[in-house]
Amino acid sequence: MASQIHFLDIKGKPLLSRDYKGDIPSNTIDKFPLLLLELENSHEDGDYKPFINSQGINYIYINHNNLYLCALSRKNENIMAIIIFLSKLIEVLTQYFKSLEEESIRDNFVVIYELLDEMMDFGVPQTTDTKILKEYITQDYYKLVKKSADHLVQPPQAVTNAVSWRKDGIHYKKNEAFLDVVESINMLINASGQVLNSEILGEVKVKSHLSGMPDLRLGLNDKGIFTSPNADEEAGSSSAGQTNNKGIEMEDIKFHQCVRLSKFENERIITFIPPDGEFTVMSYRLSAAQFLMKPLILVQCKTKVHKHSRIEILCSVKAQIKKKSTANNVEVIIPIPEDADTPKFTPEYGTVKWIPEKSHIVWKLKTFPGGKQFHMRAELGLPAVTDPEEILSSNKKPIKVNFSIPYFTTSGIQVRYLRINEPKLQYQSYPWVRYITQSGDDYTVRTK
Amino acid sequence: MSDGKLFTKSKSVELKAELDQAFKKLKSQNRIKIILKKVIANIVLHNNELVNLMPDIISLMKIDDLAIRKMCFQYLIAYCPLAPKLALDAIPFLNRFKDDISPIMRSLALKTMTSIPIKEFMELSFSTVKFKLEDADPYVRKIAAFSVSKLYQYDAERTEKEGFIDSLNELLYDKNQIVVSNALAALSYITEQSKTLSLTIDKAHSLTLISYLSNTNEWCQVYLLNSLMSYVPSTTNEALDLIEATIPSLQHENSSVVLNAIKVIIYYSNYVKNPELILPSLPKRLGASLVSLLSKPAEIQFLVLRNVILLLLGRKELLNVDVEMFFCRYDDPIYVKDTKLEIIYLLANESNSHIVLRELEEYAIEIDVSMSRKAIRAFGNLAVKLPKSSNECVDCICDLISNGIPYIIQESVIVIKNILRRYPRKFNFAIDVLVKHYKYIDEPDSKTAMIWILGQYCEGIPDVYSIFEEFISTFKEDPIEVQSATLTAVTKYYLKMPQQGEALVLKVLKWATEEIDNPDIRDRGFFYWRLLSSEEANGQNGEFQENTKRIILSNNPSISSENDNIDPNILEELELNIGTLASIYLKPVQHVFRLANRKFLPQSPALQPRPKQSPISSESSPAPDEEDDPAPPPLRPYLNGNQSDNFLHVRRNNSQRSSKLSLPRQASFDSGFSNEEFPAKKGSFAQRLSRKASMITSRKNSTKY
Repeated sequence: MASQIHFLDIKGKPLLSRDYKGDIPSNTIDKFPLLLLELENSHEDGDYKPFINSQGINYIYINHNNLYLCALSRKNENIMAIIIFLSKLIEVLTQYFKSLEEESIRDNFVVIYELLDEMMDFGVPQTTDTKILKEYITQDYYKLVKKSADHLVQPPQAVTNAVSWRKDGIHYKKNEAFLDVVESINMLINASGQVLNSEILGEVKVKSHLSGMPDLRLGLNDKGIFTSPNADEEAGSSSAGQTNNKGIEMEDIKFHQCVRLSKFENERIITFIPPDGEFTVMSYRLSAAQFLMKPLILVQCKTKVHKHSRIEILCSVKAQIKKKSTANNVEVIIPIPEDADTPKFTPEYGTVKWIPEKSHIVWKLKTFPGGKQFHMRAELGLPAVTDPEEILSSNKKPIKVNFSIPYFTTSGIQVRYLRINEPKLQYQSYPWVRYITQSGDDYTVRTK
Repeated sequence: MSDGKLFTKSKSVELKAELDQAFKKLKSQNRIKIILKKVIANIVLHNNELVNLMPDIISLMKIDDLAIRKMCFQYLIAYCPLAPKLALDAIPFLNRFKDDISPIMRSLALKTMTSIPIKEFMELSFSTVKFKLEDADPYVRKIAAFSVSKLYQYDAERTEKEGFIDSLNELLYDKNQIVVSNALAALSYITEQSKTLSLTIDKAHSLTLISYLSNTNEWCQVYLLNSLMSYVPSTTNEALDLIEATIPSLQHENSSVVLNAIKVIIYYSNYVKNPELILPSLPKRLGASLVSLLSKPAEIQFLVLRNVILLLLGRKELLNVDVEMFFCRYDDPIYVKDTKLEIIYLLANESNSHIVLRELEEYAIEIDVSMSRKAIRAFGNLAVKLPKSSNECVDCICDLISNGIPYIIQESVIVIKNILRRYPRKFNFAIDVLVKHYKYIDEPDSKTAMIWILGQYCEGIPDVYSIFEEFISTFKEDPIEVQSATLTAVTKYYLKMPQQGEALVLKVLKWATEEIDNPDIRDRGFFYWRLLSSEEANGQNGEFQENTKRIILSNNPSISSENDNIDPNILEELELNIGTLASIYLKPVQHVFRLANRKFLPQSPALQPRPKQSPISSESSPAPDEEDDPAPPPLRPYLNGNQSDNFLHVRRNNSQRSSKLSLPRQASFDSGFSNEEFPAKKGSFAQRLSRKASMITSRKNSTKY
């Protein structure tokens, strides 16, 4: 699929390259910085695309920590697979070196070279599972030497096994599994407090410290969440045309590769042999409209521009959650004009900080009990006397809100049980569950 | 520990000396490894001088140490092509390693020899790979499968002749599913390259492959799903079963698996009549699984969105998505916003038009100029597409114009011109709003549009004379299209209001015929002049310029939203390429990848004719004769191999498809500004007008590349 893979610095200078097919001249990548530059210049025209096609070569790249990872291909390849491979490559290398950046590439070029060799063969992605890769590629070469003394290095079974994500013979003294149910709320609210769109992105994360080859079965409260599509069909056909909007519908569920998808499809049971350590067993997406009629954290903000080069912001936040719940680490990020200065804040509660380099102010509220409402007033000076209208209209950036609410899921999803069964070892095990609702990347309030 | 300090350019002489040193000391292996790491650093740095180290490196392979040998292999792969003679000494080593006890060693030797495109190494590979395809260890078999693709790349004919393809085929029945899926990946590379070979699988095997889906790693699933495209279902039920078996893969965490599963499902849907009725939940599930990919990084979002467009164009009935999900976020990159805007346009219908228009209004007043312009263009296109919502659209545009922001006005003029053409006389009030702000109009496209409006509606515009005068004042410097439009508009003005217009028309015609160098403009000037001054100009009973009016003031053909019409054959092929590069360029595969094999839906009793979706299908003439088809070459089906050609030909005629739909567009673009006076060309004028405002990038692309 991919003919070459390159690591380049932010200017597009190649740091490390691997050629898999030899069907593209090795100096082709030298054009990449020029193409990038061209792209940036044409940005204005809206021509900018994340992929470049130049003289029959396709440059498929992603940006990470001031690095470019770029794959070259000549043919009509499965670009989705290539992009995903590049992002998994980043993931693997990050797990190896903690952080993938220019310096760590230089420090580890030998390992990266070897990893690239194992992760892709003839341009076709092979294994992108760090735990398995670590089995036969080790950062520390010396380790491998000791094993190879008796000349019998085997590729790990897992590479060609049906269960390719877990090796045999894992052992823990205390067998435990930790479940985290995390729901991130994305919401787009217009200036008058109306919700334009909203979604819940949920994840069930597992940290497994379990011995042997355990078979897990995860039970969730099926408040109609997992209505089987077949049931849907029946309902749909019997009450022809009547839309069935009342039941909670999980719009989409994605499972980790260890989950038996056909079992879920037919019987609605989630069973899997977990990889060792941390992983996300499932993620789901729900349109939040059915749970959230109003925003969890309501922000209202008014900006007044006074004639004497002064801007005044009045903001109120309300936690529209249950009285018993508390929201933690609430942050309201309010954009302000770039050249504003001399801030004066009078928050009713919490602290306000001015972050000039990002031209916004952050109002932090450590704990925020449900049902409460707080106000804040901010005043900033403006150096130049300009048209107040202009200031307002040039400041269309939305307000962003961050928060987290523990012990609570918006959708009401709950883990009923986690059955752990290891047929050979038959040990006692302890599952633990935690719930949290937090703001997603896009919890924003548009400003007028 | 870090190897950073080893990452420097070295000279072969230095490294050689270091090697000699290392051998003298105790624990030489560790020292050698450090030196080898320096060698690797120089591979990374493309230091070709290190080729001189060849004999030393080859002799290092004597040392029985996997790490050392691994690095030696990397040296060989990098430098052997530079010194083919010296490299030959490595062959005995590779020959020995290929039968090593350790499977890792065996596969490494195999990988190395097949990666060095030198005759002797290839000879060795040809004799080795065959046995390794039957190696006891699955890991080696997997590597051997890819070695066959490498051999094929090196010498396709020989690989085929010596039966490697058949042996690779055998691997498809291997007992290890990982080997099977990698063999499929290797085969698919070969069949894509080859003009003669193609992969076909039978029913039993397709079921086996599906059953492997649950037991392999994510990448193997991608290859397995991909290979399912090679099975042609012979009955509807078969296709349905396969669709149902593929549906679980929509829930995989790897986006590439998901997109491939969608590709497979769409492919099989061609063999089911009304799949959306038989599997009512299918559109919803496809929609949901695509939408949930929108929470991924921007590049992936972009890919997904492009494929959503593709599906909306061709397979609307199989995709159930809410337009709200595609509303732009503030920090979306511009290319994501663009694509979302296209989707919003495609999804807009009478029932959701209210929400959509509110959202577009939000974009139109955004500070990002290009976004705001695109939003206005979308308003115009929606007004043309949805007659019932056109009122609301025009109201919004008029509101926006009255804010008096120049770029909004520039864009709105173009849009309003389209709307006026689509709904003659319905929205004349919009002209009044525009006229108030005519002073801001200075871009060629907007000017052309404004001048057209002036000419067409001059009788209703107060003070039209002075406005005309102002636009005309720059006539000599204007671009050609503005000059053309001016000529026509002024002539119309004269015909409708002779007293006021006479002076203007004389002035412009004089300029056009005497001072303009461009032959087209000059010709047109003369043409009008003669028309107006001809003896035949007045009607039989002496009506003023009756005959000229008949020619110049004839009605314009009405325009429609032509965006929804893309050649179904192109769509069909793109659908078979979901998730590939072609799907993001959204244009005919052969356009971008000249050497790509054409993909088409294989014939089968169950194959359904493509549902018609174009709203103006009335236009579809009887199937055009392939030979008379004025298609520009890239749009023509790829005529390769007479069998498939005939087959395609027949099918196109049977299903009454017309590849004509997309053609006039192309033609009109090339022909430049067209003359309203020639009825035959009126169509293309309409096309051109709406093309200007078109949002579908496929269109833009098809002319750009």
